[in-house]
Amino acid sequence: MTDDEKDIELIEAYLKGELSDAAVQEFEFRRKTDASFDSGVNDYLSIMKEIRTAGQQSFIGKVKEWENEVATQEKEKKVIPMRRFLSLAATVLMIVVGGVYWIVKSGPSSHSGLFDEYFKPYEDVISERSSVTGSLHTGMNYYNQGNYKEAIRHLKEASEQDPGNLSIRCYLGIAFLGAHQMKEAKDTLLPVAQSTPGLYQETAEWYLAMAYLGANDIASLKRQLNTIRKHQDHLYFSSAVSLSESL
Amino acid sequence: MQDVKEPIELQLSRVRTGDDRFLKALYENKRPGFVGWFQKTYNMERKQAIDLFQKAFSAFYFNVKDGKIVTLKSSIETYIFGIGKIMMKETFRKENKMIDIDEIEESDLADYNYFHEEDEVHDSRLVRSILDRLEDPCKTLLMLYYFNNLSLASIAESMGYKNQAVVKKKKCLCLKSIRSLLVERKIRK
Repeated sequence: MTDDEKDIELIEAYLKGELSDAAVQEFEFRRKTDASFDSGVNDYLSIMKEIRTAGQQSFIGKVKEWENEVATQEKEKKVIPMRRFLSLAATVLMIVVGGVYWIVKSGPSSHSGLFDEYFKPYEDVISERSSVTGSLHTGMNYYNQGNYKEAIRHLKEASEQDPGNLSIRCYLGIAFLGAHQMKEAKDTLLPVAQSTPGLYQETAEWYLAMAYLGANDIASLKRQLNTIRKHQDHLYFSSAVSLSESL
Repeated sequence: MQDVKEPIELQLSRVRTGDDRFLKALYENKRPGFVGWFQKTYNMERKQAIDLFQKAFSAFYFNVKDGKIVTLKSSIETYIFGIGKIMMKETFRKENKMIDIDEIEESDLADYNYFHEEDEVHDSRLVRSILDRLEDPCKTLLMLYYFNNLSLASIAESMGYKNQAVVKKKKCLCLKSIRSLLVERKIRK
């Protein structure tokens, strides 16, 4: 090992606080008495520090890129108000139809009106990605059109091709809900709801509650809503509170 | 999102190794809850809340990367929220606003003061200008060692060097070449 290598190793150990008290004293004494060594220490410490700063700035830049991607996706959604309008109109229609149905049925144990009121298909946030092709792409197109029967067929295929992909399972579960296939919806969404906390896990928790509501399984629905309400920062916290109060 | 149910230590380990795919997913995952909560709780503009989230998320990553957090008593989300709350508290303190913000439960919130350094004036422009022009393999090697805190053995494996002794030697040569340029520029200055 050359003298330079030894010095660099010593400076690193000093920087990491790995030197003994005696070694630190010796190190500092040498800095005071050997100008060349002291200059080297200053330079190397400065270089090491700047490498770390450069790394931090590079990461912060990366985070800004991720933010731009997310913001772009949000903007793109705002550019298509017609889809939102149609979705809102469909929701209003469903509420009206559901309300009429509820009045006609006037059964105290029916919650179908609530299902129609609270079930809104989760927005498509994946189609814009270039990685979305084949069955998934086709499935999401049908999903966006509200053609859940066809969406189910293609999303099932996509899910079989990529069984670990929670987003596909989540959309498949919601498509089942849209097609009023509550048991299939529950079976599809349950594993996602039980996965690691995250966007699709929280989304699946809410739509699982919708599956219980659609199946009129009120005990499970209440349990599920309580699970969501435990986390104030849950994406569907306020919806869960509101639905609980309506029960 | 995350493909499997993972214990917190494993998730932190993926953060520590700089798994970009996982980090990005984590960013997208934690963003809505954080931004919504801070907007509502502190009556913030959305843009401010997003900015705060970016800083809190980066501080979380730096703390994990530097080994200041190896496990958490709470969730990653709670930890990031905690950093956000502390940052808010400091902002209010700077603005001399009297406001009562609840204390953070997580005792090991470690350092988050990376952004204070941004404002400091360093006499390090020369070093930065040299680093900006640095090329591989020195650039990657030094970044992996000093920023990502990878061991010499890991670097040898990921960069295809024969063993850690070779990496150590190479690292030393890279540092020496940077220092020579630095000394040269100091003289010219």
